[in-house]
Amino acid sequence: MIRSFQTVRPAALLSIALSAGLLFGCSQASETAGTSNGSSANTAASGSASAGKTVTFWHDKTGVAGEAITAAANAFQADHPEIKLNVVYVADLTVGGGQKLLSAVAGGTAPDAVFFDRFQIASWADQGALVDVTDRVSADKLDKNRFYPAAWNEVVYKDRVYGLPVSTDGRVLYYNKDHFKEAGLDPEKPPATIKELEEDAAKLTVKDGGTYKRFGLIPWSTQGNFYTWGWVFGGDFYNTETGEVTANNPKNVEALQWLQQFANKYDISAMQSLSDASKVNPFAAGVTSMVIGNNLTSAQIRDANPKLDFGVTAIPTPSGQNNVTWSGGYSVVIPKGAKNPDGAWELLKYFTGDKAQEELAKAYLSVVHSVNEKVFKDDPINTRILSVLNDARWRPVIPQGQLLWNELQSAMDLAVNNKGNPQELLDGVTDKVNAALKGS
Amino acid sequence: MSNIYSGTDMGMAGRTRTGTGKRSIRQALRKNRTGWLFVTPWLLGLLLFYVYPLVSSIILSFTSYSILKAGSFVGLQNYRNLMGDGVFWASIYNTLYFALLYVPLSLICSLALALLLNTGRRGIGFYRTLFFLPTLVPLVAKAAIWIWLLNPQFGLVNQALAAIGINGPPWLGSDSWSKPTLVLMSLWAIGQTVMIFVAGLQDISRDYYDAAAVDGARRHQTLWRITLPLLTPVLFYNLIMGIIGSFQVFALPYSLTGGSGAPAGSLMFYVMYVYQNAFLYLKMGYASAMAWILFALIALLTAVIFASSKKWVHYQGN
Repeated sequence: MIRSFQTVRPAALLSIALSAGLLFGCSQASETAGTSNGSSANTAASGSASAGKTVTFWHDKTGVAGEAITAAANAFQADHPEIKLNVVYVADLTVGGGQKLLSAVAGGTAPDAVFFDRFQIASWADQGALVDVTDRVSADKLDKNRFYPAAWNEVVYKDRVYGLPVSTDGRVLYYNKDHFKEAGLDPEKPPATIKELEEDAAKLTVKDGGTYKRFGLIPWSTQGNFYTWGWVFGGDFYNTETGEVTANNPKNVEALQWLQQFANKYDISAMQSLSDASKVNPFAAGVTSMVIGNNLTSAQIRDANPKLDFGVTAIPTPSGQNNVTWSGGYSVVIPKGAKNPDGAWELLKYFTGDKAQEELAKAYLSVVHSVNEKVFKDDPINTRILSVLNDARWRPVIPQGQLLWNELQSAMDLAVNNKGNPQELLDGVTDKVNAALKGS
Repeated sequence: MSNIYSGTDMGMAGRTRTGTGKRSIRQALRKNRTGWLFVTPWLLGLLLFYVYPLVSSIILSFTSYSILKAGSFVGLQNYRNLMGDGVFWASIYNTLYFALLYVPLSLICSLALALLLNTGRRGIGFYRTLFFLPTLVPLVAKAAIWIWLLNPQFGLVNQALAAIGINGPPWLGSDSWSKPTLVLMSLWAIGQTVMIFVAGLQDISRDYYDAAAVDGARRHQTLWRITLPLLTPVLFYNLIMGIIGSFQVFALPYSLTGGSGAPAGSLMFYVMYVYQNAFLYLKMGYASAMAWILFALIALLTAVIFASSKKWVHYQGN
């Protein structure tokens, strides 16, 4: 092998560079994706024999969420013996690109229904990759008022419906009551304004010599993404009239300026390492006293640190009024090329029904008011989140939703690391995403 | 020395002296029919899984293909857009930075380890296993381990440093430390390179050392005058593979940052951005253009190193 280099020829040189330089697609990508489910994906792709009767349903959830989805699916099966439901777990379906679903749809071997992040509906619908269910919705007289506005609006792209919402979430401020007592703060009086939030955070921060032992707040940790802060400051991200992104809304710029000066007050690298880079929930670990979280955060806290005494409150705003939150969540959609769209539609409808919603509420928040009221009546944390859910915001339903998300997160990342000025960064995001919208 | 290759151009380095070179291709084909028959399965695989995707991707790089939609022909638009894409340039900078730091370091470390592992002491097999083990850890698991070890606040590394009075760096927490940290993590798994060096060392004929010993050469002299020059073919191979590998760094930074390249975009590497465009933004045409630019870069570098190799690579027995 090594000796042969002395007589190597251009073709061999080329082939080495070729095979190494270009064909990383398969080998590299498979290193990150859990490839343990290749077999199940294969079996799912070949369900055409009994099409018409079988509904193949893909989801990518494990743990509590996976169990809830399976329970809802089992309930469907019991109520619909005429349909054979085939539930398939497929890892990494929508997170990080969803290559398996992409290749299944592109290759004409799509499943009949998919548990799908609503956030991606617009870009997939824009690509013609989802089945339009608008007529089915009106034929079956489905009432959109059954759902929270934020949940329903995310499945509607250009006035057409591309799926049904099945779960939701909402963001609030979690605070550690023990830390509050320690710092001489009233655990029943969490901060209401941004100013109070800053002051409390300063009091809660613990420094030992040169190193931080605890941060009162790391604003961008957990659910503190830039959408959260932009809306909290009264900003907005999209103009439905012009169809343009408004990431550089003055209020958004204010939010980013605030984040930047907050970061500058402390040691940014210590904050970064305590926030998401550490792969543990810093609030549950007790290294931050406050955090922006959602309904899943309380489950994480109970798992990691059941003794932690915490409360939740609406995210503070500059004025202390006009509290705002935002919602994301899942839907069930019918991908293009589904062999049994009629059967799939039955599943979609069933997943928005009370029975399935109660199952899904074991992992998420339901998209239906009455179900949440019933399920969470003794749960003060989720009740507090639900109280702000009715007028929750939702992310712009645009084909470039993923790009906007990444660009906003990247702008925040750059700003808090002092790599740019907030106005210019958000101008850049606005221009880039609007250019991409025109292009798509 | 002059080499005359046989008529079949299959990228094999085998040499046959045809002497006259007058035989027609058809004759050569007939003579080699059995050979062709034997390589058919391999050739088919090559055509289907290498050549076809290769040709497709260069065609796709001139279109707005999105995986879900065929897209349309856009000429050089993808390439033009790339030239004005800030993230593209940042990812090239990050990748070059990583390669320049990682390749020399990995070669030096693995060579040093190989020399140690080649001393032939008792129990050396145990150490060889020990140094090779980290390469068997899946990259994602590796990322998880290192995240814990290097957490600036409660990571073991900084706690150990604190114990001897050193205030440890923020590692992955700051944009100036993140790439060196990644190099450090990657150096943990150089067992593969070490083993190739060990094989290369054992390939060197004992005669040289015996002759040197007779002449009274000291250890450092034999290292510089015999071992290293005769190891250059292996060094050359590891250098090229190291460069190719570091230009394609992906899995570790991707799993460390969840694909975001944080902090401050300092871990956004070239292939990560290719992946993001292809599967997150559904811009497969754009991603194909990026892949071809990477290919051109790697091919160029490889060619330069090959051209320079005549000056510094020495083969035994020539």
